[in-house]
Amino acid sequence: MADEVDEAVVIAAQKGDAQAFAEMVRHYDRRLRAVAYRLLGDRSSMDDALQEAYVKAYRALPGFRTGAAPGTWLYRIVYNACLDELRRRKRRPVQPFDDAGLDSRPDGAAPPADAGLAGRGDLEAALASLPTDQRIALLLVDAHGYDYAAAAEILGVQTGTVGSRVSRARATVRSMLQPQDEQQSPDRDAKEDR
Amino acid sequence: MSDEHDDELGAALRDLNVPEHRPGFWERLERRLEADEVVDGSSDGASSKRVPVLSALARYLPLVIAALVILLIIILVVF
Repeated sequence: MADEVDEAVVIAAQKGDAQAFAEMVRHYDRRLRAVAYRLLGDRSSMDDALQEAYVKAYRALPGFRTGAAPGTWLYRIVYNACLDELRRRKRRPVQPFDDAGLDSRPDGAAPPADAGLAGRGDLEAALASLPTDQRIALLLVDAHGYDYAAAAEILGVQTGTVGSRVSRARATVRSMLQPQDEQQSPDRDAKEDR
Repeated sequence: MSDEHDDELGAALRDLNVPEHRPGFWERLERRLEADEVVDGSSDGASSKRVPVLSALARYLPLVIAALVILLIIILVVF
C-alpha cells in the first residue's frame, strides 16, 4: 500500500497539531469508510465506529512509531472499533441498504463498464454474505491492495490465515457472481451442438 | 504464501458505493478532540493516551501563574 500520508504531517500531528491530525485521517478516510461500511452495513454505525476510532487514534498518536505505516496503524484501529461496534450492538447480518448519502468513485466518474463480474448489487450481496473475517481480508488485499503481511498486521493474525481467508472469500464471491447461463453452459453447449 | 491479488475483483470492489459521513461528522470529531473526551478503552493499538488534566494545565499554566502572582500581591497589600 504505497499511498501513505506525508511523514511530516504525521510528525506534526504527533506534536499536537489538530489540523495535521485532521489532514492525516482525511487522507485515509474514504478507504476507512469503505471498510467500516462494509463491516457494519449502515451509515450510522459506520460514523459511530469512525468517530471512536479517530478519537482513539488521536489519543494514541504520541505512541505511534515514526517511520511505521500510518495507514496500517489507522486501519487496525478502525477495524477494532468496528469489531467493538459489532459486539456492542449484536447487529444482524450485513445487508446492502441505507443508500442515503452514497457517493460514487472519488473523482465522480461513473462505474466502469462491466469487467466480467456481475452487477454491483450482486457483488454487494455476495460480499455481505461473507463472514466478517473473510470480508475484511478480501477488502484489504484485493480492494485496498495490501499484501498479506500488512493485512495480517492489521487483523492481528498470521499471514497464512489471511491467505486462506482471502482464498475462501474469493471462491465464495465468484461462485455467487457466476452468471446462471455460465453455470448451465455445458447443457447449452450440448444442445447447440445438436 | 504468495501475495497474489485478484485485480478484477479488486476493481469491482473499489467501484462499490461508499456513503459520505452524515452532516456534522467532522465538526463533532473536532469538538471531541478539543474536549479530549474519554472513551471506553478496547483491545486495539490505541493504548497510550493523552492526559487531559496535564495538557489543560500546560496550556493555561502562564495564566494560572499570573493569577497567583496578582493574588499574592493583593494579599501583601491588604495585610
